Amino acid sequence: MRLIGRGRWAAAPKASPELDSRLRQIFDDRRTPGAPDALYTYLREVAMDSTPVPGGGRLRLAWTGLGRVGRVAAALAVVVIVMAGALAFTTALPRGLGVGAGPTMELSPIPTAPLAPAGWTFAMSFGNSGGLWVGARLGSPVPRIAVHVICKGSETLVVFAGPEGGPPTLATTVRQAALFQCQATGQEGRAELTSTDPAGFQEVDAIAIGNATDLSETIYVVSVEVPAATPEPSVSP
Amino acid sequence: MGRGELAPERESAALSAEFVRLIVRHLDDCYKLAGYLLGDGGEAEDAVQEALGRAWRAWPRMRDPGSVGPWLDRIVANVCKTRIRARQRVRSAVFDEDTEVVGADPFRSTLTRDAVGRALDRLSPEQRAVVVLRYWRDMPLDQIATRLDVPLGTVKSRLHYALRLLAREIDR
Repeated sequence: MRLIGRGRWAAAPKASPELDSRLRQIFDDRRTPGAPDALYTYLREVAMDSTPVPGGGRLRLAWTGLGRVGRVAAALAVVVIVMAGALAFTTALPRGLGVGAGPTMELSPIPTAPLAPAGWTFAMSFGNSGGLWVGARLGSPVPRIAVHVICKGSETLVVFAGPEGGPPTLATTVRQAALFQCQATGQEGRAELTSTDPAGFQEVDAIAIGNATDLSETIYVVSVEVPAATPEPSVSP
Repeated sequence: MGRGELAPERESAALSAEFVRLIVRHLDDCYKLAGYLLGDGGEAEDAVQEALGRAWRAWPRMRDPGSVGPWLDRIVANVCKTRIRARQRVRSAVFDEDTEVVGADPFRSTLTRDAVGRALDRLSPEQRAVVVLRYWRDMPLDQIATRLDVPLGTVKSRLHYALRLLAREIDR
């Protein structure tokens, strides 16, 4: 009887002679170029223009002195605080932008939501500055939406839409996304998404991702538009 | 003179110079690794930039100059894995109608020339990393395990399933 697990891969897996030969041809080093000059320049720039942060690159929490239960409680507290912040941000911001924005609202660095084109109706908007994951939820799911974005900065803005929210994982339901490359001078972009999931779109999230060494924050507003309702044709008696 | 005895400005300059000196010799390999993993030269350039940023931030913790290559490979492989996962869920929307004309990408043309190369797209990012390091670098499995920071058995398992999938392309 063979045990499962340990010892199963005692020998190195081998490809057939033909597969081996074809793989070695594909990965023939002479076929591909070396790093472009831009990368050599970038290497020098990244080291000269900034100071490395000891221990940076990953959020570290100090757990010293906390037992297992204490660590779980602390982790839960962090999650609750982050979720409360995100909720406040995504529910408060749409009231201050776009349709219904009052004249007494305070000036915000986040741009005003763009106008919906003909045939589409503004549904909601949200925005952010920096790389936090933010989003908002439509009142009811719809099969088709347009994400209309104004952003300013150097990062790439990824807007996700699906029946559920939060960062996508392999376990979550199918979601669609549109990608916008922001520019320092400000850019406006729009993408229409049609759901392939019967559950439609209800949650729209966005996150700015980009160059880890770029300290400038990207600011953006995402306006979600839905197709305008077509008036029912009147029936003559 | 040790790092701690230098004035802050000189310490920072020394750190920068050491970083550039040790990383520059691995830059070609990093770019090719990213190119083979992502199948696109432009994306490989972006990925290596991102990896260099991460490497620089983590540089003060690097203690062994002899392990810079494997350490950098691991960062590049992780960046590429994240990009491949994101690519599966993201589609692009352009801001304007201008179409940029680009030449044939060396990685794409190399990988898509052969049915086996095209089938690499069907591998998971982890399996693909093992195949690339094995057949491009001709690297022993234990070194691959060190570079990817996974157990040797995991490397063997990933290679086994990857080769089985690729072998089907030849049988077709």
